[in-house]
Amino acid sequence: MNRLPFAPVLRRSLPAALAGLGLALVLSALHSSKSPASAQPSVDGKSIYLERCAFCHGENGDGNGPVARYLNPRPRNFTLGQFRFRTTASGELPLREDVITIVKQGVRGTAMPRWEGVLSEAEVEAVVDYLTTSFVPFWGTYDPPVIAIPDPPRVTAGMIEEGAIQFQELQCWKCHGEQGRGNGSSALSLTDETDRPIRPADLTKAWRYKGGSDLVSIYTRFSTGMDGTPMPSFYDVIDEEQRWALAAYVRSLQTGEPSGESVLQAAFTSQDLPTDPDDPLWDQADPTSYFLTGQVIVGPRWQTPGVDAVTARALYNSTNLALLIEWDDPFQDTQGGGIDVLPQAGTYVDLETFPQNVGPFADGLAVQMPAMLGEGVAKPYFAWGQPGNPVNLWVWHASDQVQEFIGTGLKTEPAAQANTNVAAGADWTDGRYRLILTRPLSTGDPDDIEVKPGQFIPIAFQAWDGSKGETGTRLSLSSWNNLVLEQPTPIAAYLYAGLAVLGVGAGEWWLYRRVRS
Amino acid sequence: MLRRASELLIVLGVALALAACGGGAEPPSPSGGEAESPPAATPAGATISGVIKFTGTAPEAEPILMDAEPICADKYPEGAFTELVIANSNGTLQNVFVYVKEGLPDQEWPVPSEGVLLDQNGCRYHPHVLGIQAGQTLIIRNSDGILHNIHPMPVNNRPFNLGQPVVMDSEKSFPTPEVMIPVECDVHDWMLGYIGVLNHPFFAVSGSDGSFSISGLPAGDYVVEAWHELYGTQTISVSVAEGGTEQIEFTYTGS
Amino acid sequence: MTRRLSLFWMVILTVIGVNLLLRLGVPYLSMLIAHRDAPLPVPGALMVIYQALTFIGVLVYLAADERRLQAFWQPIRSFIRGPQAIRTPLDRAIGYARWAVLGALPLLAGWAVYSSSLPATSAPTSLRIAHPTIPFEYQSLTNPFRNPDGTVDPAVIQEGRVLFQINCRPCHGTPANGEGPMAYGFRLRPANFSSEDTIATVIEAYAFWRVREGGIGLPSQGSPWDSAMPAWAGELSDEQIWKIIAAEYQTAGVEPRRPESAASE
Repeated sequence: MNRLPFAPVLRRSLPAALAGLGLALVLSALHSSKSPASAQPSVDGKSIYLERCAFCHGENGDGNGPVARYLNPRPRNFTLGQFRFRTTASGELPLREDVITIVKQGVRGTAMPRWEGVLSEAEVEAVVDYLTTSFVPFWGTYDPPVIAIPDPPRVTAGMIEEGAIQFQELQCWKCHGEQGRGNGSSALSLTDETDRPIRPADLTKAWRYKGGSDLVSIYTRFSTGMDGTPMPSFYDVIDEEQRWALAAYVRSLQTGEPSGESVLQAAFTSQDLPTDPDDPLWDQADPTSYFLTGQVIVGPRWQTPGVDAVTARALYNSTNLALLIEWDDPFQDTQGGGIDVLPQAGTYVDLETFPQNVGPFADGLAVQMPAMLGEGVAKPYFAWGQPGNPVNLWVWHASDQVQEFIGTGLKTEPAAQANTNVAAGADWTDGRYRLILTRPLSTGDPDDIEVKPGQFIPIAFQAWDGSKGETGTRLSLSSWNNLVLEQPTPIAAYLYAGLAVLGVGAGEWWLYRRVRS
Repeated sequence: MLRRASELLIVLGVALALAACGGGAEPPSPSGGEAESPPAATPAGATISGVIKFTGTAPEAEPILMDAEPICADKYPEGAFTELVIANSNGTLQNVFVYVKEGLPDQEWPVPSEGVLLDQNGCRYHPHVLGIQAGQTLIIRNSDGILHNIHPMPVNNRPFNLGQPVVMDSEKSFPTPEVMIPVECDVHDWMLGYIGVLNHPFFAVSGSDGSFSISGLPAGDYVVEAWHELYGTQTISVSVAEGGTEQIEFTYTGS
Repeated sequence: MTRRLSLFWMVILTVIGVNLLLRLGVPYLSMLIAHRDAPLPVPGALMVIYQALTFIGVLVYLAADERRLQAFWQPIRSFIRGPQAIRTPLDRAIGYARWAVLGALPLLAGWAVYSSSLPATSAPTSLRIAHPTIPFEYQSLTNPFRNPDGTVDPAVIQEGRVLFQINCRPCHGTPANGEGPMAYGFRLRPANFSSEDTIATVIEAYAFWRVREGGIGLPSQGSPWDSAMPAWAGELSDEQIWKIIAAEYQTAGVEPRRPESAASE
C-alpha cells in the first residue's frame, strides 16, 4: 500500500523529495483510517439517539435500556437531571457544552464510549439537543450558575506540598484513603443516586479518573462535585490557590500506569532471594506493570474487574526465581474464595440481580505459565489454557495459601498438582498487596516447566478482589506477557565490538593516508 | 410582592409566628433532637394543635458504630442509637411532621427573612425533621469540625452536595414545595434527616411530648397531614373559625 | 547569510530530517489521524525500507553528476586532511575537535556493534495474521436474515443490535470500533469492525465462523494467533449470531464482501 513516488522526485531536488516523502506518508496514513460515520448525511438527533444510545440509556432516557442491567456504573438516567461532569455549581444542570464534551470524550472505565470521530460535530450536537430537551427536567428553564475555571498555573513542588495539607484538612482521605487508593473508612458504605453501591476513585490510577486525570479536570471535579455520587463540592471551602494546590497534589498521586511493555525482566543476583518486599535487592529488578481486564471469555462473563493492573518485578539466582507482585485492593478479604467454575447463568453476570454483598470471598492472585514449553508447542489459550494445551497456575489466596494447578480452560475446574513447588509471602498495607512468590528454576516436577535464562516464557496474571464479588471464574485477568531471565553479556559481544573499533579506525587511517598523499 | 392591603394583617401575624419559629433554632443538645412547636400565634389567627398518639411498640433503636469518628462517639457516653422511631414516655410519637395540606387561600405567603438552622452535631442532624418555607434560607451548620457532606435528595428541587470539612455555616434554599426531602451525609452513612418544604408557614414537628401546634391560620376548612419517616402519612379534615383553636389527634398504631 | 548551505551539509540534514520524520513525525501523525492516545505501531521492516530508500535516493542524486560528487566529497576530504596551518586559537580548537571526532567514530561503531549483539530483550511479536482460510463447512453458509437485495429487516437489525451491545460491546465497543471498556486489557486489541480491513473484507459466513469458534477454533497452521476471541457456540444460538452479524455490519457502517458465487452472477 505504500508505493512511494520516490526516485523521480529525488532527481529534481532534495527538499522536494523530503516534502514528497512526508506527503506520501500522510496520504497512506489517511487512507487507512477513513471514518465510517462520514457516510451519513442526515442529522436527526432522535434517530441517532434511538440507534446509538437507546439500548443503554433507554428510549425514554431513563437509563434503563436492555443493556443497562449488565453495566456498572449504570447508564445515566437523564430524567433524574443529575450529571457528574459539569462546570456548574453543585446540584445544578450542566451546560449544553458539558454534555457535548462528555458525549465526545466518553467516560473512561465505563461503557460510555468516545463518540468523537464516530459521530460528526453536528451529529453530537443534534443528539445532545434531543436528549436534553426530551428527557432532562428543568432543562432550558434557567441559566445554571457556572463555576469559572481559570487558567492553570505552573505546578511547583511547593504547590504539591500545600495540596497535601489541603488533602488532609478537607479530609479527602475519609473516602479516598490516605494514599489515595480509594480505601478510606467511609468508602464501603457509599451509594449513588439510585442507592447502588459506589466506590471512591483510586486516585493513584490516572486511567480510572472518569472525568479526566489532568490538572483542570481534577480542579473541576472537586469544585463542582459529582452530582448523583457522594462526591461533594468543596468550592466554597478553599480559595483558588488552594484548589490548584490540591489538584496538583492529587495529580502527583498518579503512578504506575502500564506502558504496554510486555517483557518482565528477571535480574540476576548472587545473593539469597529476598522474602521481604522492602528488601533493597528488589531495586535491582525493573518493575513492569500490566493491565488486567474482566473475564469476558466464558459465561457468566464479568465486565467489572476488581483488579485492573498489577506491577511485577522478578529476581533470580542460581537456584530460584522470585516474583514480587503488587496491586491495589482497597479492602483485605481473607475468607472464602476459590477457583471453581461458576455455573452458566447467561452470557454476562446480570448486575441487576447480582447480590451486592456476596461472599465472603478471599482476595487472590494467580501467575500463569504454559505447562509445556518448547519448539513446536503452541502457546496455550490465555485464559487458563485449553484442552490439550494446559497451563500451570500458581494460585495464592489471602488466606495465605498457595497451590499449583493445571488449567485446561475456563470451563473445567483446574486440577491441583500433586506437588506445589511455589512458596508465598504477602503483605497488605493501606490498600495495596505485595506478594512474593518463589520457585526453584528447576523443580524436577513433570507438571512444572524449567525456567532457563534467555528464554521468553509466556506469563499471565489473574486476580480476585473478594469484596467486589470475585471468586472462581469471576475474575480479572491479563493477556499473555513474557518473562525473561536476563543473560550475562556473551563474550562475543566484546569481541565484535573490539573488531568494529579496529576496523573503523583502520578505515580512517587509510582515508587519511589517501587524502594526504 | 403583596398587592392587596387587606392581607397585611395576616402577613404580620405570619411573620411574627415565623420569627418565633426561627428563634427556636439554636443548636440543640446532642442527645436531644426535640423540635420546638411554634408558640401560640397572633390573636387574629386560628390555631390547630394536638398530639401524635402512639399505640404500638417502637422497633428497638439500633446502635450506631461511630468508632471511626471519636469526636462524635465521645458525645454519646451511653452509645448512639438510630432515630427511626422515637416514642415518648407519655405514649406519643416524636419527629412527626404536621402541616396544612389543603384548604389554604390561593395566595403568596411571605418568606421569613430569618433562616432555619440545620445543625450537624455529634454526627447527627438537629433537628432530625424540620420544616421550612420555599425560598427561606436554610443555614447548614457543621458543629463537629470534621468532614460532613450535606447531601439532600429532592425530587422537585435541585439537589446539592457540599463538603463541610471544618466548623462552618453554609446557606441554601429550596424554591419548590416538597414533602419530604431526605438529607444524607455520605461520609457517615447513618446520618439521616428530613426537610419538609412548603409554600406557606403552617407546619410543625411533634416534640418530646408528642404535641404540635399550627397557628396564625385564617378561618377555613383544612386537610392536615401528619408524616412519619417509618409509619407514613395520615390526614384529618378540620374547620377553624376566625381566632379559634381546634384540637386534633393523630394515632399511629406502629404497623 | 544568503550563502547556500554546502552540498555535504544538505545531504546530512536530509538524512537526519527523514529519520526524524520517520521516528517522530509518523507516530505522531498516526495519533492525530487515528484519534488515539498512543501511536500506532510502525513495523520495523517498513522503517528500514524507508531509510534504505532515502539512502539510495541520496546516492543516486550524488552519483548522477561528477561535480556534485566532488562538491560532496570536498568537506570530508579537508576534514580528514586537517587544517593546513594553525594561525588562530580557533584553528587550534577546530584541530582538537577534529581529533575528537576521528577518535569517537571507531568507539561509536564499537558501541553500536556491542549493543546490537547483546541478548535480545524485546518480546516475540504477536501480530494479527491476516485472515486464515475459512473451513469448508462454513464456506457456503449465508445469513438467513439477509434479503436477496442485501437489506435486512430493521426489526432483525434492532434485535441484533441489542445482542451485539450486550455481548460484543465490552470488547469491540459500542460503535464497533474495537475500543470497548475491556479492550485495554488485551495485548492484541479486539478487531475494529469499522476499519476497511476487518469484516469489510470477508463474507458473512467468515464472521459467523469466527464468532462461533473464537480464538481457540483458529487452525493450528499459522499459530500463534494470540486471539482472545471467545467461542460463542453453545452460548448464543446460530440465529442470534446471524442477527448480531447483520447488526454489526450496520453499526460499523461497512458492507460484507459478497460471496464469490453471488458476485460472479
